[in-house]
Amino acid sequence: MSVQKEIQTNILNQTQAPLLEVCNLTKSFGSGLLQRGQKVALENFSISIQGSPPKIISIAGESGSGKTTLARLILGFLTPTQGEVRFRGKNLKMMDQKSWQTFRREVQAVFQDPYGVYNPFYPVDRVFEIVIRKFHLAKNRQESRHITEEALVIVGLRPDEIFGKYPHQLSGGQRQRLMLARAFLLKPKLIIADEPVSMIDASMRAIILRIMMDLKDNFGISFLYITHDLSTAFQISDDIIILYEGWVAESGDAEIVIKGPKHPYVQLLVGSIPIPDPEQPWQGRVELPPEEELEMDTLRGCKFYHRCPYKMGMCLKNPPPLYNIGLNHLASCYLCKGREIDDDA
Amino acid sequence: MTERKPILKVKDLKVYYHTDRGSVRAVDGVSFTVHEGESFGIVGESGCGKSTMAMALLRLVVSPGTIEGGQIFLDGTDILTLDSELVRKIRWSQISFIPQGAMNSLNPVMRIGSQIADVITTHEGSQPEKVLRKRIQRLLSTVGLPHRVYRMYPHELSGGMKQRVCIAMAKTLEPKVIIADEPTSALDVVVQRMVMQTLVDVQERLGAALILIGHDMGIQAQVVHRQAVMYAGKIAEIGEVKTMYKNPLHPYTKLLIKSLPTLQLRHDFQGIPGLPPSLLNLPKGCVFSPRCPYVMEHCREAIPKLVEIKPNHLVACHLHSEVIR
Repeated sequence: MSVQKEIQTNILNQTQAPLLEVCNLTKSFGSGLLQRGQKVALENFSISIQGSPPKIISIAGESGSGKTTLARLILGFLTPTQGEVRFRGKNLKMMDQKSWQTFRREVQAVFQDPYGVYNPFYPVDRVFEIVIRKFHLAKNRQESRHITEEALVIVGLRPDEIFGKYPHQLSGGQRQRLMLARAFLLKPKLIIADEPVSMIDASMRAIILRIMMDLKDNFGISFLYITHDLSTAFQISDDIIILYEGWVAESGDAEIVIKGPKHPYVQLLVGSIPIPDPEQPWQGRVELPPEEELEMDTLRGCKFYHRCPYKMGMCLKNPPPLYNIGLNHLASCYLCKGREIDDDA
Repeated sequence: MTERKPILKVKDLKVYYHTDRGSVRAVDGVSFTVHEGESFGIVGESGCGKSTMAMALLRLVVSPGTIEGGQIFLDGTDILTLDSELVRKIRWSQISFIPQGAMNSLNPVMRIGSQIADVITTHEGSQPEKVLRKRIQRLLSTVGLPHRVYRMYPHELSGGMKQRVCIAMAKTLEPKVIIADEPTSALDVVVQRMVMQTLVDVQERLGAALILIGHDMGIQAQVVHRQAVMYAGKIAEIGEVKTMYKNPLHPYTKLLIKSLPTLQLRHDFQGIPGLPPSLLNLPKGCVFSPRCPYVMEHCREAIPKLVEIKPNHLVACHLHSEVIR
């Protein structure tokens, strides 16, 4: 009786635990003993991805924001300095081989460089063959070819244009779509896409973004879309988290955050996006005293202090917490203090 | 706007790369004019020939590339007829260049000051260090950099600062034309804005013409007055940005603008299906015909000429030449 109950509880845990959970994750690089010489790439980051209903969540930020470090931590390529990454309730650090297999099957990745992932000596078919073999997705070559063709069609590629080709014979956009097709083979629950379109031309970018949206709508695949491009993040995400120097500046519903940013950094970011319309020029000028660029120290207070037009004394003392300023809208800025809403409102 | 005198006139420029598999027609009959003090954009996706064209404008095309034909008039003189010694003289002093990834090609073992000094002394002969230093420090401040950058090494500077050093280098000898090839592609959005601001400031104060080459139509819209859209080695359309973004004439320009994700309406973008043609094996007729949603029989037979449809608005498309007829 008690054994059955334990099994039941485990199953319950598994179905109740979010697909992926990041808890108070901190990662620092550099010499260990003293605090000096250490770079904190990501600080106290938490997120919970349920997996169902499928969502596209963007992690947006500039270089140095910590977004790539976050991707690597989530995929288990890096170990956290503090905090945990949990897959279906299990801490990555304590998972056995079987759980890792399941993890790799359910959480796939697509990276920025459409060339780097391919072995130039082999035709691109090989990337599919390897996955199919490793995860036992097909019984024979015929079935293997069939599911590969299916995946290629889903991403808008013609199998006869792809089979037998070497990486250099395909365009960046084709290679990147191939990566999505390969990820799709495993029917994952979540794809971590780290700048999947930044090295792709504008006209192909749109096609790939559409593919991602289709995979979510038609196959229930969630995406963690990591990017520095707020326009694409705005277009395809449900939620967005904007990072600055390892901290969350603002997060929430993508449309709400980008149309009405509350954090001064996010306001600056959104205002600096070059709009392809000469009737909507950049407003005003951006000045950054170069002295500040040369001396960006780690502050004990808000990381954005030096560049912030609204800086106050309290901003230097302690980093601002994330204030709840709307339904699904958080911002870490003391300007928002006192404007929070209750969770029950 | 008063009629400004043309400072750069490109006529039917052809740059081909001769390979074992045939000739790659990277730039295939390109013509355009840039006026004094104007900011002119050349926009296109990868492989359209824009960077090759930038190299050609500076006579920097190397084998297996060759300039097959055409003329490049810089302030009235066809630079393709000059000998290499003269060309070296005009580079940096008449026409300067900020190449793609320039900030990564700064000499890592030389101080910034020495690198800029190099540009000056190569063209003007050696000068006392004190004089050079003052001049270079003043130059650095015109791009918003403090005097002490003079003694620093490239790795001590951020990406945005390095790029501003490259802008300073490009304006040192007060050229008439500055060509910038993707000057901000590796930079973050806010730094990008600052660098572009600096570039435009420099250009305006100098009275130089700026040729901005890139694939980012957002930046182009923010910075240039007139723009040429390139596709597969040819120019599809040239016009003022104000009209081009509102009323693009060439189907490729229309589709390109439609593919840009904006911050206005969600899910409002559309890619262009298909791929650009192989430059080894161009289609007969219009290079865009295989992908054009408005393609007609005639398009597959005859290459459309670049024609002025409205004042200051040129397009190479049979749809519009038909209208003329």
